[in-house]
Amino acid sequence: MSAGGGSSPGGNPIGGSESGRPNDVEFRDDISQVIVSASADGIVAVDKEGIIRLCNPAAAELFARSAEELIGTPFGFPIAAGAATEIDLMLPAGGRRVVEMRVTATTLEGEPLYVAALRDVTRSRHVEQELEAALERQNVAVAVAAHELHNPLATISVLVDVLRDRLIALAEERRTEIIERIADRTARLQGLVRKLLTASTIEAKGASARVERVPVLEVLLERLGELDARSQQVHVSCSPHLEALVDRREFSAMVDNYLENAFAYGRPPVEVSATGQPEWILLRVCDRGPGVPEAFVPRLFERFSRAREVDRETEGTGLGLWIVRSFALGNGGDAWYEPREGEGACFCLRLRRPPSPGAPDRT
Amino acid sequence: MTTYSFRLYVAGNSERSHAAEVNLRFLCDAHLSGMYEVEVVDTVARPELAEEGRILATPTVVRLTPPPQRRVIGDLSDHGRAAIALGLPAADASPMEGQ
Repeated sequence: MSAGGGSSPGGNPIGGSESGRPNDVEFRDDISQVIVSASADGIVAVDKEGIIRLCNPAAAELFARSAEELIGTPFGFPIAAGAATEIDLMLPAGGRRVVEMRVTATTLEGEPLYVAALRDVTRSRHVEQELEAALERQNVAVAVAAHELHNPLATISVLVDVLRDRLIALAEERRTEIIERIADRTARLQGLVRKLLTASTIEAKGASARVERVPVLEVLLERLGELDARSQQVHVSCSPHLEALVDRREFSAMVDNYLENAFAYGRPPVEVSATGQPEWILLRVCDRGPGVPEAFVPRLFERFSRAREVDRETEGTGLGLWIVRSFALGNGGDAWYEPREGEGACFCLRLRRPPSPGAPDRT
Repeated sequence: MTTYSFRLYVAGNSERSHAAEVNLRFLCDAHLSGMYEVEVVDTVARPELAEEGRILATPTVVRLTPPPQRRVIGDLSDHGRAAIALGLPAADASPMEGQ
């Protein structure tokens, strides 16, 4: 390869000691144009001593140093095994940047010139990792959905077959019981699908957090109303004047998931208490179950996480607590776990409290 | 026989850093019959040494002695070119020959 285009200066065109001569400047300009127009990558050309003789603006950007600073600086002989190799550029502020380096050799006016093309892979690698993580999450989501949806569907299928089978004479009472079980499984499936949809919405858009003043007790009682007979095992403690600054629909989902979690993994009675602090309201949902194994606590609010100790037959996507925390953070609050004194688990939720200096009751 | 002295600048304990050191020692063992010294400088732990050596990228190996000083950028996995670029005995040719 030969890069000897443009006007031809005399003497040694790439000799650093001769920099500053008008013909050198002209020469550099010509070559720079050739190099820059050839590629959008950072280009560094070094002489036989490994000294940088030319670089394009993209290279200056990659090194975070000006072209003036780079030209004349020892870089070294760039050697790429195969098509390309990765190197770390040392940034003046102390950071590093990973670049892919391709090397070509040429002669310029009889002198060897080594050209290193540098491409920033830090960003593309980051994007790649994000994509891999997203794909992994999708795969897990599909696997969890398939597993959690499969069992109730199989049960419904069997029960429907029993109802259809004319050879099986069923008493009316037995038929009613089977229909009830189908309805129950269907409701669970709907709950699971709702949860998966909520999770995918959070993943795609985050919490919507259309914040408004929401009476806490009202929402608690409304959610307990959806809890069927289990609501009798829930004891509520909350001032009727207590309000939270939160998206009402998301607050309902947080309460639902905490209650569901308490019944699935804990034991009744379940105590739900909401108290007011100067700027926050604190909601605690405590059960009398075995509590959470200490080693699992750090991962408790992660997506698809379930403790090993949990009975494999216990239904659950491992999404509920992640949904609570995502919504809590999206509404400017937080969600966390505390062991209950004595025995059991307490799941806590902190939400913002609206400013109401004249409120008669702040507790 | 002349003793060769090299300083290898790497960035942390990465795969790239490890490969560069292994390749440098392999080349030295093959060409210098034990008559060499290799000092490894972690630029993450000792950024001032990188600054002092005007190091722009890692891995960079600098042949300190015998003079003249030579520098090579890369993980040295192309042993042939690396040996020529570092001026190791029985490796006299253009370092970029064939690139």
